[in-house]
Amino acid sequence: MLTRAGFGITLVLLALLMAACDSGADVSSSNGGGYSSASGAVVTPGTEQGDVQVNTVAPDFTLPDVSGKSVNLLAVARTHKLTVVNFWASWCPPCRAEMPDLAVAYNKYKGMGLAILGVNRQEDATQVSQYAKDGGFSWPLLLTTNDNVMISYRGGSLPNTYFVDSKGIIIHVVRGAMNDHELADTLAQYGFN
Amino acid sequence: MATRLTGADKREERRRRVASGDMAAPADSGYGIQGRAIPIEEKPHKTPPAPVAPTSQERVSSFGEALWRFFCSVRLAMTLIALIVIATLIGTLLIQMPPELQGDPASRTMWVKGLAPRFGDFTGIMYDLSLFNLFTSWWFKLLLLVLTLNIVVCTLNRFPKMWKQSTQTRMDVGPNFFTHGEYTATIALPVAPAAAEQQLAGVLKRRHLSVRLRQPIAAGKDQAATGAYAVYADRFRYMPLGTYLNHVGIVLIFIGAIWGTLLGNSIKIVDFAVPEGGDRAVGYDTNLMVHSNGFTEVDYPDGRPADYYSDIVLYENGKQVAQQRIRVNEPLEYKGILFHQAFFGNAADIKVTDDASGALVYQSSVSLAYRSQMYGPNNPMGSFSLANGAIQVDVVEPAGPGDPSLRPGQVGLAMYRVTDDHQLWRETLSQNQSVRQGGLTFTFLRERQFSGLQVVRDHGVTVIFIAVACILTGLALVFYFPSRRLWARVESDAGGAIIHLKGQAPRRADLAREMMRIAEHLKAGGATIHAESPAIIEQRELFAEMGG
Repeated sequence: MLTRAGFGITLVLLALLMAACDSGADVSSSNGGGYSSASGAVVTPGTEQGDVQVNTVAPDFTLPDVSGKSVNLLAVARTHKLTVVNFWASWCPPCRAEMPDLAVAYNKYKGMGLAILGVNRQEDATQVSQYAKDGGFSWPLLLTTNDNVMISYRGGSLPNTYFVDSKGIIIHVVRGAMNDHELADTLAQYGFN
Repeated sequence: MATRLTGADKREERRRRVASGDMAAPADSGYGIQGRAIPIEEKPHKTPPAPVAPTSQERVSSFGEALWRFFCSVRLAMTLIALIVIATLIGTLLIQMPPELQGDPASRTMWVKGLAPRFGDFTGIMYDLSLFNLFTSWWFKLLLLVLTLNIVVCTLNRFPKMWKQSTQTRMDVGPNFFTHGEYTATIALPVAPAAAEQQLAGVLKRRHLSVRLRQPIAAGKDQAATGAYAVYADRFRYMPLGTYLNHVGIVLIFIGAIWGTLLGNSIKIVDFAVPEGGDRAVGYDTNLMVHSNGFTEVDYPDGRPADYYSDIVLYENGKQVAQQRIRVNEPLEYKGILFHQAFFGNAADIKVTDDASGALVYQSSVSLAYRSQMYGPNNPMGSFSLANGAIQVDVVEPAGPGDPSLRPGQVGLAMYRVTDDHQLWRETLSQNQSVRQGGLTFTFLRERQFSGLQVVRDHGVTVIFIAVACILTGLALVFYFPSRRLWARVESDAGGAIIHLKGQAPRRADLAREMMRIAEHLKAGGATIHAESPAIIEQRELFAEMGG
């Protein structure tokens, strides 16, 4: 029969055994594809916390695209049925994962009044234009040198996507990457199907 | 020549005889109640007879006894436990090989090779010692098996004695039994012994003790006992056997731990990555396939993760059998197999066509669920096989901002011959770009996300649950329901009766308090306390200090 001390040690041993049972999960997988946060979204430091409410006016901005041409949100929104404002960066894996789906939607619906504005987070024009060229992403990709626009949208992570109607009102927000089903369902709600 | 044993010789002789089972060890030495120790006769040794060769049956019996004694050893148990604790610590601290790689020599070699930068020249030795698959190594299982045998044999060895203690307690004891002990009391009552015995039995019952013996002591049996009564009562007498539930529980845990190995049908896939819109077979002869309808992650505005889940569909032999939105703690369960949401990441859609025929050789999303330093700074990596597994193609994506090896949006492809792990070529592709190699065209179509699942089937878990229930129940029985035994002898004394009480119980049973209360009950019926053992007096003083 085990002594009392032996029994105690056995319990410790059992606890260790149980802890060890799950150790495989930590070591065998990379926990995803190199994201900066535990979620798919990439947390951007220094941005204000909070939320932009649906059914409020989209904070306006004017930013240069990769060719240097200024693009104003409200000007684009007024001339389109739906404008998708997508905050992204090329080093953000979930941002990259949703880009081809945005491209499919853009190519399909741009003639029906869909606009996309991609607000890039502080990357240089060469890098962004190269990425757009490689991927065949033809919507305006806007450059930033600070997080002012992101802060005005109170977005603390990437990717974040805001759907703005022709009156400049935010009608839908998606925080995190969208898959093709999600994007298609959202666009269908606003007549793109 | 006759020799006389010294004290040390006698102790050694006694120890030897106890160990060999010639005599019972006195569990309650001095009282002569339970163990009934047999005094050793100090007879001089006779001249030993001439040695006779043991028969084959004796040899077998002797070997069996030696084996039995070996597995009875507490020292063996302590050594095994120490070794298992050390091994478990090593296995917990050291990176362990994913279970699904262990059956695939090529993947295993590749995985071990990836450890070389970390462990250098020791990698091979550590691998040979099974330190990277410690919990499935033969020597770790052997340790568990021997410890299991150890516990089983120890338990069986001790059980008859414990059972006897619980069921065959000697109830009628002589007058000398009451003269010493930790819990004793002498109480006088101004009534005849028969009435005093009646009163005592009533008190014992009120104190929830089972009175098992109430009988007059025959004069012939005990000359001093004319008109005397013997009383015995106990409570929780079977509870010490709870310790066997602990032992059973511990053995069951070990059995549960190796259950999968014994049955060979356990599944544990910790990196089951399914790309959005893609399929992946579970394998393990289950004929199951998982399809991901999509992965979703929802964040709080500040970027903290709020939720993430996958919508999966399960097919068995091509027929849909289940569909569910799974989360980390909301798995899909089908035929005992659990599909948990575990992680997620990016996948790369790759297409391979044959240049000569134009036939599609491969088209799928490659989940980049691993990390590798082979192509750059810790890049996400996945792989797929061609030519019936003879060729492996690694796919890597950039490690993050500033990765010099790959631009965002690019993937690196590297083809290997599996037999010798020889790299055949390596290329970098942007989205929608192709490369022709060895008569095949490789195209990188796009990136997408994958759902990382954990797929688990472990019947051992049920055994573990039962084991834990056994251990908890056993602990509760032993610690919260300690057995208490009480003997009484009621004698006539100067026109009244005198009750000699004696109790036995583990310290945690607080028997001093119980006996104090019994005495108080009797006192309320007119009794006078003549004497109490120090333990009961201390309890009485403590009770008085607390204002009881």
